Amino acid sequence: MTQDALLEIKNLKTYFHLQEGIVRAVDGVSFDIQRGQTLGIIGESGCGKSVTAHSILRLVPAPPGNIVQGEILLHRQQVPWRATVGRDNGNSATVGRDNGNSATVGRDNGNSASVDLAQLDPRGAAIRAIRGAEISMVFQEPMTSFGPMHTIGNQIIESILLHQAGMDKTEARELAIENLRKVGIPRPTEIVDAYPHQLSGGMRQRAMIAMALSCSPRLLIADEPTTALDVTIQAQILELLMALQEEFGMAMMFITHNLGVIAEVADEVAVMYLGRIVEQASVTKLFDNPQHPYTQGLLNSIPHIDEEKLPRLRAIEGVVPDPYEIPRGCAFSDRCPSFMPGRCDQAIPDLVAREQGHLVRCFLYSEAEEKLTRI
Amino acid sequence: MVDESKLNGATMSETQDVAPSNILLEVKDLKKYFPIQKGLLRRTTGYVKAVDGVSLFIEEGETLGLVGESGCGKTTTGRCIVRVYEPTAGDILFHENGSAINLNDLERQELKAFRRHLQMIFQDPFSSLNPRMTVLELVGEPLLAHGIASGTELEDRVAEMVVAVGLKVEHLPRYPHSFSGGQRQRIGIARALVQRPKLVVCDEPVSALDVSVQSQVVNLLQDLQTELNLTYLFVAHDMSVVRQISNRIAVMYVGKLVEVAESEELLRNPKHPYSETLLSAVPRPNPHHRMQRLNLEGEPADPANAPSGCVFHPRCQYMEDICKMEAPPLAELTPGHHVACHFADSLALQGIAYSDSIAVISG
Amino acid sequence: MTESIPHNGAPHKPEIESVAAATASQSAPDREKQALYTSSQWQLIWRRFKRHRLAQIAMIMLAFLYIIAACAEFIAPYETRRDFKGFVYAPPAKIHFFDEDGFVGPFVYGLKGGRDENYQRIFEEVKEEQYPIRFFVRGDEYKLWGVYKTNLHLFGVEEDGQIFVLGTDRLGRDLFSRVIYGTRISLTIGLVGVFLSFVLGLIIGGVSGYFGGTVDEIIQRMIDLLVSIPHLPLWMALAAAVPRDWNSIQTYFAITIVLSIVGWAGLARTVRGRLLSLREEDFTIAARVSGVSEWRIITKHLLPLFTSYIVVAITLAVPGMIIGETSLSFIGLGIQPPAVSWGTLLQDSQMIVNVALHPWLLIPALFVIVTVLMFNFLGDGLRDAADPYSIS
Repeated sequence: MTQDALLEIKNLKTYFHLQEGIVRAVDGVSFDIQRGQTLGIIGESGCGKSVTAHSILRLVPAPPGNIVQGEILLHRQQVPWRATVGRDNGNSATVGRDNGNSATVGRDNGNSASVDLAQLDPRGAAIRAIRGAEISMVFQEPMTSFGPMHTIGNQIIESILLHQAGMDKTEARELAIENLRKVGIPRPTEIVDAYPHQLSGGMRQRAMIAMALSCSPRLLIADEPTTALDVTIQAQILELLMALQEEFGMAMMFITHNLGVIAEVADEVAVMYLGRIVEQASVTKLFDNPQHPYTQGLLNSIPHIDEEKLPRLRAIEGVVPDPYEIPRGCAFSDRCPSFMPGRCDQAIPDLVAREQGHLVRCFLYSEAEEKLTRI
Repeated sequence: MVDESKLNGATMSETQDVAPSNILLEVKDLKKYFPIQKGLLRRTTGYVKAVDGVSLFIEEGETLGLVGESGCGKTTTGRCIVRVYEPTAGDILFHENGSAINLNDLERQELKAFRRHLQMIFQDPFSSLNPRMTVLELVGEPLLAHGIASGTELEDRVAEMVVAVGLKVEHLPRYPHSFSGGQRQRIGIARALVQRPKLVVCDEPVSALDVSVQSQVVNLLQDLQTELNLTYLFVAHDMSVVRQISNRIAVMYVGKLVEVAESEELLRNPKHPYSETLLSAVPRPNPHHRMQRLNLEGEPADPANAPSGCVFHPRCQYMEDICKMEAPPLAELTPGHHVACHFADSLALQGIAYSDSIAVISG
Repeated sequence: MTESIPHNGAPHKPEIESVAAATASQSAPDREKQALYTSSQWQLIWRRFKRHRLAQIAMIMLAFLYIIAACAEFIAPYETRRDFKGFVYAPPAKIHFFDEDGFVGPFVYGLKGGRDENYQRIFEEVKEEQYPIRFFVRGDEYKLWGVYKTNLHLFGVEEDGQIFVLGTDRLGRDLFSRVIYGTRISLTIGLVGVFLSFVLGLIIGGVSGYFGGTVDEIIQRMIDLLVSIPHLPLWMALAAAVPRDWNSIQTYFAITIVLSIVGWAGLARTVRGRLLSLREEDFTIAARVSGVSEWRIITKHLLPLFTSYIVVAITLAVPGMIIGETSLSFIGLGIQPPAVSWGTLLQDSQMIVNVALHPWLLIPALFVIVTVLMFNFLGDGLRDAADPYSIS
């Protein structure tokens, strides 16, 4: 595995301060997204997967939302010493070095090699220059992410003109049509002048992707991009995204609740539960050898169409707790089949490396394993 | 359309194949057209043929899965059967004690009385429960409406039902706002089942729920089916869920049934090209399976402007000239396996190959 | 992490596969939660409304204003028609607490009118005449609520002196007293007008929404037409048709009818829109599938959800009525003198000279603005609170 992180998130905490109390939507999440790779984030409602994505682009509404801690480092160039240093060991040392390196990390918004997005003003020019240009996003419902009053073409052109200086309107229109063609929209020269409501859901999602790709982003964040679509259209969009990733060489952060979809697209997968990553591994390791009881439960609970039918599904017990009533200790402890009284309900386990590149947050393993890494 | 007599013929032969006493519901040539109205005078300029000649039957105690993509008419079919929508044409025969009642002929009062045999579970657990009513009122309402029970007897029956769906008696005085999506769906199920219906139309009952809660609700529906001897029409778009709960599966495309078969048979041995693509498009939670799917071009046809001939022909990779001209009837290919395709017996289509899951995990 | 939140009986696992949290244990917060879970929609609306500071303040202020309207005779120091010769256009009184000898409590000096070198009216305080302000003084006689004959007033000064809290008008009548009396017509006309247009709107909108089709189409086009006519000319045309010789009560009701003829259209739209969307809600269909009768669906399912929306719509419609009355009376087509409303009081400020020399004549406008604002704040708060799907 190459160690060429494009985006590095360290101990991100995004809280919402509501009248009912504090919702710790993202509570200490750390991960890297490698250049050209796809990180899949999977979890159920309230696990913080979307808030993580919105935090990266600083789209969390404030108030009530607030990034209370953590770094979101966008590395525009390959960090030289990083290429050799493994991510899984000596992490604390890395952090220290990063702090020493903070000449490049921080408030500067120019074209420095690295920038900490968490430090940027969410309404400032710096983050706006990054949104839609270096990092783009595709949403679940493309109807609401396009303005209804303007044609698809004008919205794509506007985004191109905003980020690419020195391009005039005709060139931008050409580029928009070219992008619409690339995402497989038939008759792009006509569709460019269509309004969003004139397109089907699948076509709108393609147009949304065309817009997201109009400035050749380094990172594409896809937040449940196929959830509102039919399976055949979902399959088309997934293939399209993977083909485009190959072509543009961009990294992708793919958020979904669908285990099948994540198995199709991701290289690396992080499983989130109530604001924390509970397991992270390469897609094959995670699906072949899930370690965390929650991951195991999820994989067991869904019906597998290509296996013998079970008389009954092996459901996870209970429901995802209310965000104000997260159990003490491990958040999954009240639903966990391997619950250990006096242990799981007392402290929150660390995310430790079970083996090289396979991180698990569970007391089942932390005793047996030497605590090599702590994230 | 071209050959409706043949279509009806196919249904009749079905009816004769199985023991007639076992059939609970029989739908014959059901049609539901929604008028497209334009202008000040609301002139009808055309019709959305949401359901266009669907014939099917459901045996007592079984689950028939009805799958298809959005706009294919599966929800409309379900809603016509419970008479939420008035069918444009067709018969809905409910077999009871050897005699058949045509639901489409029932007058308002008769229908109201008959409704206790026929219930529905909704997709959205939030909008399907009146936020102003307690669980007791919600679940008790059907009993009250049919004069089945009142007072303490009603409370007892509601309590019994609520416990059967996995809620607690102390939940009875609560309002829907205090429940999670999965719990609300349980209330919806209790409400539908409290008057002991025979047939339940489940309209996407799990698709709005969290992954881990979906399987709980599927299990609950299965348990209740055995316990209460229910018959389900399970309408959904998720093939894996439908297969889990269904004995037979009917595949729908743009207002028409294209294939009906035993669920394992349909999975392993699809005979309609649309079923084949639908199956191959199901995302598998198995990274080793990647990129093995068929490429389905295009999008579902518009039911207001359905293609001539076979409705699937613009997307079908096996399309021949006849497919543009003539609509294939739903014909029985092998016993219990009905397909609407001109080339059903000659095409070699790819189904789901069962993998040995243990081998995959170790490899 | 969340130490403050009690853990729900940690060691034992949830016994049934469902219903994890929030059961069993009976600690105080749990009981509170149980109360929240079982609280009805109106209780929830009230809970949410209580969080809306501005709306609460507005509600208290409005309640205060309506109390004033109800007890106008008692609160106003003078009767509306009492004119003080020699005190024409007197400015608002200065209330003093100290004289040359020190603190003596609230009092006013006597006023002496005259004219300056430009023949402008001026008033001077006569330092020799001190009139302490007293509570519950005897003054003009009146019948409270038409029943109790009394002459008791909330406050005032001794018989020889005068207190003009907001000055006087062109006939030397006390503006404060007139504003207080005006509250009565101005505030009730909003309520009565809204009630009338609500009845019209509910019937017409209900017919439109229930029958649908052509009936609906015709009614909707009628509403479009009505809404497209500018309000003021329409009011004027209708109000001009009210006979001049009607007494003030007849005029009052004529004006409310005029206002509600224009005002029902918006409410009818709201009613129809809600009815249509509620009829298509899943829970209405669910009720129908359960065999519930149409009558019970309307009374048990639709109306309760409906009322909260209607309350909000009505609250937000009241200010329009108040402004309507004020505008009509301002141009002389509304309430006719001697009846007093905020609009008729503002008639005096039609001439710019009057406003320049006697700016206190504009004070009734302040009351209009505050009242309209308060109704809008209240309506906003109610709207937020009434959303049936918001949980907390």
